[in-house]
Amino acid sequence: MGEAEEAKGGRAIELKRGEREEILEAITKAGAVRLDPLLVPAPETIEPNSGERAAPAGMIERFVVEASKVGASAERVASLEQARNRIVEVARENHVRVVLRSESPLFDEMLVDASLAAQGMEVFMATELDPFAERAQSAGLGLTDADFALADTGTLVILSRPGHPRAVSLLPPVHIAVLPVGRLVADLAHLFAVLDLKQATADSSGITFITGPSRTADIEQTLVIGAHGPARVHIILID
Amino acid sequence: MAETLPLFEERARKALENARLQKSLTQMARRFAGARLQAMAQFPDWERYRQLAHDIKKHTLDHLGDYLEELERRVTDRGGRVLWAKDARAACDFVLRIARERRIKTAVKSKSMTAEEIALNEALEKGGVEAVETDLGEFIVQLAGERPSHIIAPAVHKSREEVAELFVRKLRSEHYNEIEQLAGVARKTLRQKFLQAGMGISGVNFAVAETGTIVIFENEGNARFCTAAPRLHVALMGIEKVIPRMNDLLVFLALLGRAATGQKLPSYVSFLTGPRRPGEKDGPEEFFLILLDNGRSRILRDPLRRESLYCIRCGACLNVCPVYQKIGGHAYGWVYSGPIGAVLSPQYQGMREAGELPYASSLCGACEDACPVKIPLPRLLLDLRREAIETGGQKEGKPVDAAERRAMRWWLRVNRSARSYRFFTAIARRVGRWKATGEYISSLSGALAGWTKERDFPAPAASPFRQRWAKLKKQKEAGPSS
Repeated sequence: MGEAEEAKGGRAIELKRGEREEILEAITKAGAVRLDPLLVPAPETIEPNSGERAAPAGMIERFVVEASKVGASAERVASLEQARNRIVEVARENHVRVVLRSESPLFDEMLVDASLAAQGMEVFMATELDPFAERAQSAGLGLTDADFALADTGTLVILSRPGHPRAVSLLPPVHIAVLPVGRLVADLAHLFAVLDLKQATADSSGITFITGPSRTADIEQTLVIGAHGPARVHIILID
Repeated sequence: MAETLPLFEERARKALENARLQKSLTQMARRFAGARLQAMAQFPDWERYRQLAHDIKKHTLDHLGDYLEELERRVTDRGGRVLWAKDARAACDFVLRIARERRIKTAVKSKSMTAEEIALNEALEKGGVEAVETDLGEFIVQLAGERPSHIIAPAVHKSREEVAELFVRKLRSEHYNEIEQLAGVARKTLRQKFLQAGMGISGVNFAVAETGTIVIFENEGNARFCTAAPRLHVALMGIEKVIPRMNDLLVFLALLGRAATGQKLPSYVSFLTGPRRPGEKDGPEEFFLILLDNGRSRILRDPLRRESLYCIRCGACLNVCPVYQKIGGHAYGWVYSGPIGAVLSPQYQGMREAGELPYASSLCGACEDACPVKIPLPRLLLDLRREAIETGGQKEGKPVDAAERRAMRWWLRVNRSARSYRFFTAIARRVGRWKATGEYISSLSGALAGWTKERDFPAPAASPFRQRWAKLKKQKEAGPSS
């Protein structure tokens, strides 16, 4: 459709807002009532659960079980040093040569870069390069921390922010996420109580909930693990 | 663009003759419905959540204008832009103009029923923008030049051999036999597209008015790519997709995955709010949200039909529908299929186009039972049948004739008085028992021939229930002995 054709159609659209007033008027005419919070109570919903948390010990086991049910793997380690050793081992098992990692004081403290480099692996910081650049494509491992984890579903919650881009948990075929056990909550309703979502969505353009590796069953309904995102997700919980 | 489709009956017959399709439909129904039942069994609050979801949807649509304005304000606060599109053409024009102004040649698309509804791909191709579907099923369907046949499993009608041949022909790949290899070909091809594309297009599962956040459900990761890699993200949503509060997601997040695939949560749920913030290395630099009406404000006018706008596109009603399980998605003729398609298509497209669809149901009610937001699908189907008849719309391809009208009027008169009812049923009983051989009547003639054409009709009982009841009552009152 060229400009001429558009004019002929008689309805070139104002890109500014479009047919806003017309649609709102149609909605009002259809019987939608102006909302007066004093007259119309908000409908009942599920409130965030700020009550007691489940015992941390039980929650960790729950998380490990649920993560394995959705095809991820999870383990608990006693120290930063152990966490670092496990990162290096999992990277070696997967024949990783290039690592893309996001920023976290955890990684700085455990000196993970040096350990990976000692094994001949190259480490790129997500702050150094455009994570969707061609060079980032060579990464075999994405290394992130996680802001929260949900025991009920084996889910990781990651907020994008400077130093913490979305691509690190998406591009490489293997994703390792590290978090202190203190960031584990029972389920979504508990997360919604702990995390101020109004503030979080104002600060972060993308909050990602990751439950297991990427998957598809679009051909003959046969499950394939590893679609566009990682095929392997490993989670390390640090005491 | 109006292609003339064969009549419903013809499309359905074609599907019934396709043995491969029959096999995969049965397999799919079993898989999805089984997974859903299992998920429900492990979630004792299911009924309570369904009711909450239903009530939240009702409230939102009752005050739709306010929530859309709030959503617009919040998205704008976060640096996004909101565009309002009255119809399919307006929405397609928006996307095309955004692309043209920025000289964008390639757009990557994640799965969106709404984009299918407005035929966005065709509009973009015509305008010189390549639109690439990135969900594996949608990618296959697009390469084949077909339409999706299921909300959740768009390419369920294709075999792995067909996919392998398609990839050889269209992507010049090697001929692979393994499904994992085929998925690998798609991954490789699409990875390049994600990195090249100037624009990502997505649908929206829920839009939260109070924060301006859109929520996207997926398992493959393609929607994450579409919304993080290109410098521009355009999200397209029907105006009914808005929900008031973040906390409402606690209801809908619990329902959608379970109803669709039996998953508590899918692999990825993304909460996206505006373009990337300063200092963020990925996410779009520009974010547009298109609010599409396209007939929704018209459906809103009717208090019963309004409930068809509660749909969260989980596909549960398809998976339990005995009709869908036999004829598949393509027979419904448009983007929405199954019971919800039979309800939505006539309302969006009109009775002339889709007036046959409300008859593609046995009214067994399985769809309503499965629906996570409690849409009264059988009642809606009946209401649409009423309209089809009143407007002289289609019924199985032919208009209702005068003789049928007369017959129904006569039937109504007979059944209004107990005396005439008794009189005529007595005659029918006698004729029926005379025609029967044993317990069944296997052939009737004349106007009644249709009743026995494809099955035997049970013979009437020797004495009607009315008489037997009176007798039983007398016996009972006479004493408990016997």
